[in-house]
Order: sequence, then structure tokens, then C-alpha cells
Amino acid sequence: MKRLLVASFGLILLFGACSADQPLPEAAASSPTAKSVALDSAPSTATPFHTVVPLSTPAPSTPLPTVGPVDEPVAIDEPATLTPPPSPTREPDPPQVISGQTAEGAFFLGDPQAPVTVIDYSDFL
Amino acid sequence: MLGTEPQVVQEYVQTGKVKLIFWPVLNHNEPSVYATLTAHCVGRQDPDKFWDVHEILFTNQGDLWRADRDYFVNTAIAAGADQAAFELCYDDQGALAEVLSLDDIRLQRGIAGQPMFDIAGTVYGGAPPFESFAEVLDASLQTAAE
Repeated sequence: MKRLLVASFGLILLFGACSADQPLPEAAASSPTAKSVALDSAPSTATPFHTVVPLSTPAPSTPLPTVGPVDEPVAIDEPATLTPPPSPTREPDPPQVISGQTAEGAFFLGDPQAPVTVIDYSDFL
Repeated sequence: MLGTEPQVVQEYVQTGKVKLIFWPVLNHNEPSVYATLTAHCVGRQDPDKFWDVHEILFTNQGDLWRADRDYFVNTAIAAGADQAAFELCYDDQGALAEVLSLDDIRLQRGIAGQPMFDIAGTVYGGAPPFESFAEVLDASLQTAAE
């Protein structure tokens, strides 16, 4: 009877140790890809620490516009044809109207490069 | 050629179409010589002033028959010439020789009367109206452009 009581007492001690709060194991070293999330919510919504919160999922991509059948030409807005700016029109050089003397000593008036030369043979009287 | 010359100068010379040369003709002895000498001596100081004196002499053509040295000196001063330099030239034989030389050249070219106009190598006589001048000048310009 005494032996039965000792065994029972041992068993009781053994079960109590097992049900005691286990110290929390140290958190695993965070991997470069893991992202821990601070838990500040109620336990019922808390995310278990060992769960790696996935990176923010990308927003759903904008659906590409559907393209019509290949055999149908797709209207493409033709870019406006670029016309080169008109080249600046160069003004003709103004005539070089000067006065001077010819090699023989007669006086002239006008552009020495004028296309036509007029010699006025005149007497002042 | 004072009558049509201003218009020819305005419409053809100032626009670069025509180069105008005044070639003196000394057909009236000393009045012609000293009137031309006056214009040349003023022109030696400033070629632009030659054309000023040219206009003054033609405008007062009636006075030139009786004009003396003082008249021409005053004419030169009125045109803006330096009096001392003008008188030095007027009295210089070298300037006189140049004027006489020009007269010889025109005689060698067969120019006897006046006014005569050599327009692009063709000689015309008389003093036609501007329209006739313009017609010939326009035809010469067209030929030169071809």
C-alpha cells in the first residue's frame, strides 16, 4: 500500500511537470526572406511567430488591351509629319553704291560690280 | 544730262543695277576746262562731293560762260571742299593734265559731240527722256543676266 502511494505520488509529479508552461523556444534566426510581424493584436488574431509573413503581394496587373485578330490592321495614329522649318531666306546683299575714280581718272557712282556700266560723255557747258 | 540723270541715279544706280561714269567732254574751250577742273579738284578731296559739284555746275550752266577763278573757288567751297586744298589743285598743272587727258581719250573713242551715252558698250546720242533710257537699260540688264 505504501509502495502504491509513492508510485502515485511520482506519477502526479510527473504529469505536473509535463503540463507546466514551457518556456518559449528562442525564435529562429530571421532569414533574409522572412519578415517578422509585430504581434499586437488579440491572441485570437495573432499570427504565430514562426509563420513568415509573405512579402506584399503585387497588385493585380492591369489587363493588357486585347488586340484584334492579327489579320486585321490595327489603326495606329500616324505621327504628325514633321516638316522642317523653312530655311531662313537670306536677304540679298545690298548694293555697294560708292563714288570713286576709274583708272583713267574719270569719276564714277554706283556699285563697281553692277551688271551694266553707263558712260556719260558730257560737257558742263 | 542733268534732266534725266537724277531719275536714272535713283532707279538704276542706287539700286546697284548701273555703274555711272562721268566722262568730261571739253568742247567749249576754257569754260569747259575750268568747270571740269573744278569738279575734279573737289572730287579729289572727296569723290562723293564730285557729284555735288556736278549738280551745281549743271544747274548753273548759264553762269559758266562768264565764270572766273573766284566763281569756281566759291563753287567748291559751297560744295564743302577745303578751300586751300582746292586752290592748290586748281592751280596745279597735274590736275589740268589729267582733265585734258580724259578729253583726249574720248576723242580716240570716237566721241565727238555731247551728250553721248555708252550703255553696256553701245553708244547712243542725244538727251532722250527717261522712258527711253529705261527701255535701253532694262534691255541691257536682261542681256547681262543671260
